[in-house]
Amino acid sequence: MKPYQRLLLLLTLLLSSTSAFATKGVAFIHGTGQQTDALNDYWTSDFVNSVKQNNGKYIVINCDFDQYMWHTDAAQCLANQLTTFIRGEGIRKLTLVTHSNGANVVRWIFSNPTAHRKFPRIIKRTQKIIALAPSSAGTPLADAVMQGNSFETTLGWLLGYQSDAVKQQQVAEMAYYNSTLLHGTDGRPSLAKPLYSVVGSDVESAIWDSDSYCGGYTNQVALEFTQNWLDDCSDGFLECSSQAAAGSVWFIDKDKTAGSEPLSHQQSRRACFNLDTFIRDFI
Amino acid sequence: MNSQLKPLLIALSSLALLACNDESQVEPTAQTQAVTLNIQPIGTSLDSQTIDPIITSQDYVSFITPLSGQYQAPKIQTQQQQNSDQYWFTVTGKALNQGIQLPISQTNASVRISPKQNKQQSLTTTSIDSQQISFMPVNAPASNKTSQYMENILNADKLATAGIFAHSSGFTLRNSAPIGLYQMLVKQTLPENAQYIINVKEKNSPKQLSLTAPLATSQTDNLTLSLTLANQALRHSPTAMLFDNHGNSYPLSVTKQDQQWQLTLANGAELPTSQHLMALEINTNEIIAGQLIKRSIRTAIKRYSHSANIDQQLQVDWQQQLPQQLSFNLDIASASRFDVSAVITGADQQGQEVSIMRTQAAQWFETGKQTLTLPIDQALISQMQLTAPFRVRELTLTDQGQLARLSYQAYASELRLH
Repeated sequence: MKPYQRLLLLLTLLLSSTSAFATKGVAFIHGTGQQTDALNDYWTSDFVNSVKQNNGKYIVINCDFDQYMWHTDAAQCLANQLTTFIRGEGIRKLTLVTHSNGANVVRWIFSNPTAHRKFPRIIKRTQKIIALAPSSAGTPLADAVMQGNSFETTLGWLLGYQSDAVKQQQVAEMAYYNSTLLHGTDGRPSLAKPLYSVVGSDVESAIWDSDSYCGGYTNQVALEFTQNWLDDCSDGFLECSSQAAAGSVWFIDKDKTAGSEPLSHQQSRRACFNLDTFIRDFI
Repeated sequence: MNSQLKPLLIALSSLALLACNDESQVEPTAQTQAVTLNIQPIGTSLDSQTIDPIITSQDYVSFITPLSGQYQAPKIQTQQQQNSDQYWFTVTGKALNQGIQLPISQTNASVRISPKQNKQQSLTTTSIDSQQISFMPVNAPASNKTSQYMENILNADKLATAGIFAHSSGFTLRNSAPIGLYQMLVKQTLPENAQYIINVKEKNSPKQLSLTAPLATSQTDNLTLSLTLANQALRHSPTAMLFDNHGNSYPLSVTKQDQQWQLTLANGAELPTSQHLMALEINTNEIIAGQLIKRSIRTAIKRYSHSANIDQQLQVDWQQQLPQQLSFNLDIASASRFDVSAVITGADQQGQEVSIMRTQAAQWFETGKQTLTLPIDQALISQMQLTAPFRVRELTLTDQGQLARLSYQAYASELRLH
């Protein structure tokens, strides 16, 4: 037997005798905003600790998603952190858990694998994407705060302040990206790995209802007012049609949550109504 | 054992055994073939205008996405449609203190007042106390009260709890409030030059302004669009303004051509191009059944420079009767990072066309004649037991630096080794 043949056989035996290559990993990818401690400031430990149980290694991403999705501080920052995680922990089966605009940054990477040399490895190692309330088709609220290019002072905590991510999430901008640069929406190429979305369909905010308060809105009247800029089916920030625009719908909140409670846009990144356990089991 | 590793282990084992048993290696047959692509010559010449590229990575990167199933052509979207049941405009603090008129055509309309502050300005944001707003029909008796017409009156602090429209105030018209022309006046003294956006949202109004426009146009293309209000052509010329990504605004001239509206810069200059999308805002005032209907609509417009073409001559490398790689010749007019992607299909035993893979590659290119090579996964073709004719479909040239699709060919070529 020649040396290279022996090497090939040895490699085969090595691969079959080790389980290290099957290491699972979960990455938590935040939405719009510049994060430095997303574990505490965006997700909460309760949610992350619950989801990661029995699901191997985990990483909480901290990038600047106030930028456009393709920006170095967004997609490349995400790719750098995921690549370090994959290499450092030997991750072979990666699940990406995204919230809101985080799914758009992930879709940029998966739709444009040739845009950066780190993207292909991430795609290959990813098993699935769980997209919580993804803003796949944008939101009319981003349009509303951009009217007359006046976005500087009319934003709120859902969108942040003076950011390109707000411009990106206008309905017409997302329509262009979806038609030309992003995969996974109707009539476009499928994403290289499956994306399963969780859709928030309603908002309840009665202050006397502790269930409704999980994650928290307190003012029903204010919500009713902003809902005038959205379809009747929405999570208070995104219309259901936007959340369902890319990939396939895993479930619509009330179909699965405890007590058939809806998931507002804030609640879909919290341990509310068993959302955390559904994700844990699905991974 | 991880199920995903099984095929790899089987393949490696087979390879190892094969290598052990077969000492005499057979050289694969390799052949290079020139193919003419089914690309229509592009009428417009290349544009060498330099636009600062967004994606600047220099590396050659390729990627193959395995596909399966009978090939189905995608729907290529080149037009966008937007609808609007609202209007907005900017007013000064002085105008609000003097009173402005708002046409309302829908019961339960919502009115939002948001302070406007541009990046370049340093005006102090003054939120409006919604209790200081007077809102009544223009012909209402002076004895009437604002509370007869408004409900859900929100101050900035309350509205902020919904997570959007910070610093804004708002209210909804009562069900009983009649449609027609209203006068809105703010009693609170506002800075004279402070600017506010007034946004009237008439949710689900049948009087929708509909806009149909191209998703993207090259620098040499005209910008034309269709507009209807309540499914009827506009009688009056709308006004339009273009905003670039830096906040610069460009007033546009709007002229009717057949059933469409053509937009040009008011000073006759060429419309700008940009690596980013630009915002187009259009405002209309129409009379329907004697009632003034005011509408605004905002959409995104991509204006790109036609920076490269794919040449008609394709080089195909074959190995053991299967295509191994495709080398496309590119004519580059402006340096950038370019991506070429294509779907490769083959024939199954019933002769049906089956999707095999999407192959793509990208690289930074300087101007001139360049070549970009797309790999083909031969093992995937063998595994799927597909044969010629292989076809190159959905051939797409993208300028990643401009975030623009430069060309698309639904069917580009058949690959068959003669």
